[in-house]
Amino acid sequence: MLRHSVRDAIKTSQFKSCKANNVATKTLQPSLNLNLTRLNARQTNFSRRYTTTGETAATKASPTQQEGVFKVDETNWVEIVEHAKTPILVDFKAEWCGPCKVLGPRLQKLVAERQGSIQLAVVDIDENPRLTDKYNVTAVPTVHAFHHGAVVDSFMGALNEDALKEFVDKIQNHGNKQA
Amino acid sequence: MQATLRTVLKLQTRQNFRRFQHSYDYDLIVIGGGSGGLATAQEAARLTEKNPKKIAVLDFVKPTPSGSTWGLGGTCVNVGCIPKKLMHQASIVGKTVEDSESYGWNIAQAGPHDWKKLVENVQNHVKSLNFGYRTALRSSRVDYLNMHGRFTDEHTIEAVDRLNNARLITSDKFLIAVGGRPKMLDIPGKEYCITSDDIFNLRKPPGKTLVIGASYVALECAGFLHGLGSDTTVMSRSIFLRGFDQQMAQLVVDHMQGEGVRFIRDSTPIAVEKLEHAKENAFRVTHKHTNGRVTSEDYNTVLMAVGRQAQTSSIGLDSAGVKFNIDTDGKIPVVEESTNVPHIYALGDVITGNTELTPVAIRAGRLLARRLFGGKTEMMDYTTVPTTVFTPLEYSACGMTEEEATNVLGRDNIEVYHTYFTPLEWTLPHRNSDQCYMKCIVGRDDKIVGLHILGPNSGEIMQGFAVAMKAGATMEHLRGTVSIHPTVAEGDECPWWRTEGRAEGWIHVRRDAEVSGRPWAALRDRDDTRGIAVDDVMHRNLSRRCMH
Repeated sequence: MLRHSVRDAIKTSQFKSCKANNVATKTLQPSLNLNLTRLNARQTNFSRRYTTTGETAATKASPTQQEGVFKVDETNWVEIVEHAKTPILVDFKAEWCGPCKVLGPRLQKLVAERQGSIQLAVVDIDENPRLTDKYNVTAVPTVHAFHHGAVVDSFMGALNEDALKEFVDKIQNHGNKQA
Repeated sequence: MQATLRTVLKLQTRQNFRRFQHSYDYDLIVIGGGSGGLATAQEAARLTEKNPKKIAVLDFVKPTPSGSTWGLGGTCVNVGCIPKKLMHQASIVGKTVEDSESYGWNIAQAGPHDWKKLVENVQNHVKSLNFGYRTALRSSRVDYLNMHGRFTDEHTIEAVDRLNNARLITSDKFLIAVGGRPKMLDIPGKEYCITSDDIFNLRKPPGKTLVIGASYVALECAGFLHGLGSDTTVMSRSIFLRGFDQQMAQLVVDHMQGEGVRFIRDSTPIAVEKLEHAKENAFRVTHKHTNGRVTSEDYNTVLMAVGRQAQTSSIGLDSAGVKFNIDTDGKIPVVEESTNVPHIYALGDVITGNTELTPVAIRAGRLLARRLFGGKTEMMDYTTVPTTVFTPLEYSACGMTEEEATNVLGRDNIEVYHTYFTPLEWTLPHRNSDQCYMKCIVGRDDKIVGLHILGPNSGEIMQGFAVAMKAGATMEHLRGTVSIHPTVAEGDECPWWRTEGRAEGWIHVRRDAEVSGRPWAALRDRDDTRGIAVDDVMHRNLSRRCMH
């Protein structure tokens, strides 16, 4: 399968050597990272991952995708979150939630500044009740920081800029230590 | 030898014990995730925290003909009390903006009301409540199944989800709390009509609206639609607010009419046609008056509010052996929330002899859970239940209507204390307070048997008085309580207040035998306080203080 061969290729490529040399993940080619997931996506129903009803191929390059924010659901959770190479913040939010709309852009900005050393994904709690239950989300917004598939830290509510920066820095450092 | 016997006996006792414990999937299945169902499930879970019982809630919403659907929480949360009160408040805010000039505010010419923004904000709040309920059930370890339940036998339910996946689940006990849904008149063109299930999620402003019905749903919807700027008409067949005090009902309607709501009385709709080639939705409604005259008029929205039907036709009650009023209202007769089948219970809007109110269902549910799982014996008291109709001028009632009191206690055994009043807040903007009115029906033992208040915020005012009535308050208690001034609520007890030269307060009234038909009209002529000199009224009150 193409997927496995791409993975193998990556393993023997620069990618792994970057990791093996313990170079800060910042030097990882983010485009390679994204390409990898795009390739994987093609194998695993690309349209379902990136589009919502009504979107077509033409609109696939949505703002969230360009900014590297992954829209996650039950079908791609394992790939995007559990197999993420860097720490990944998962923002559980809802369409009807005001504070979520405040937190979203703040998170995006902070994650974008870190240029790939930390990733961001969003989950709609109404569309994904099982994920919501599994990770015990009782209020929105809730952000769980995952690394190697496990929750390392969390917060609830729309944190202000300073508190949010502190949190993101902490997660990034955690990621650097583990790398 | 003896040791072995003892062991064998112990084992047997344990086995017997297990036999008395059931082997069903659940201890309790609640069918219906509304006010009553959720309250019962959560209370049962709370009471059995130490020794958890397995409880499931089945909630499934069949979409309306127009396609509206909603989440967990039932009628009240999604298409009833909550969005209704928010929209009622929206129209009150509009009125406040109108009044603001007389209070010195210079609000720049307010634009037309933004219906879409209101609906979006209301729906966001409703969805947050749906999520809150889901989370609460999860924390209580209650299984929430978004599936439609149908009995296949008295201990088994077939649960079907939206994608038609079915499974069988069994339970020791069941609670039916499926509530009701709006009825539709069976006339040609009914598919063009919406109901209260659709109005709170309408994507476009309703425009010129016809509300068919004379229920509290019809009047509340017409009230806030008018308040938000829609040209609104109400079409009724006969009386308004059936079951409520008719004097108060007439005043409610008079107020709405004074505000500009049109009323087409004594008429029934015959047909609704969709007008093609119209810019927006347009429907022609043909209706017939009792005098035979047939008229047509065009509207953008036609809202039917002609009553509600209990949702008992598709839940397999026959298979479970549960008796219900299949030929009439579909409701289930119960005795202390028990149906004719011992382990199947029912409460809320679906049962007979009940006031269809959320707090009634919640309390009945909690008490039932306590009886089933908490070892308690307290029964639900369905009497002295306060209620409020959130029409533009709010009407709150607790206890008997004047008609009921007359029939049950006898006209000679009741006294009716009543008063018109003007809320102080309405004086500056010169709002018409002709229908602001309250009356207190008192029995021979001085006990208050009925209290009716028509005025702003009457819903808030009534709650405290309902507690007083539950505790057996008498007119003497009311008179003996110092009032809070200036409020609308004070009118209820102190008979000697005057404001701005107008006498306020109770006028002690005796209904004579010859006053028949509409005693209140005759009394209005005789005892109307407006324009009468204060001293006259006080003197009259003093002389009438003795009961005849």
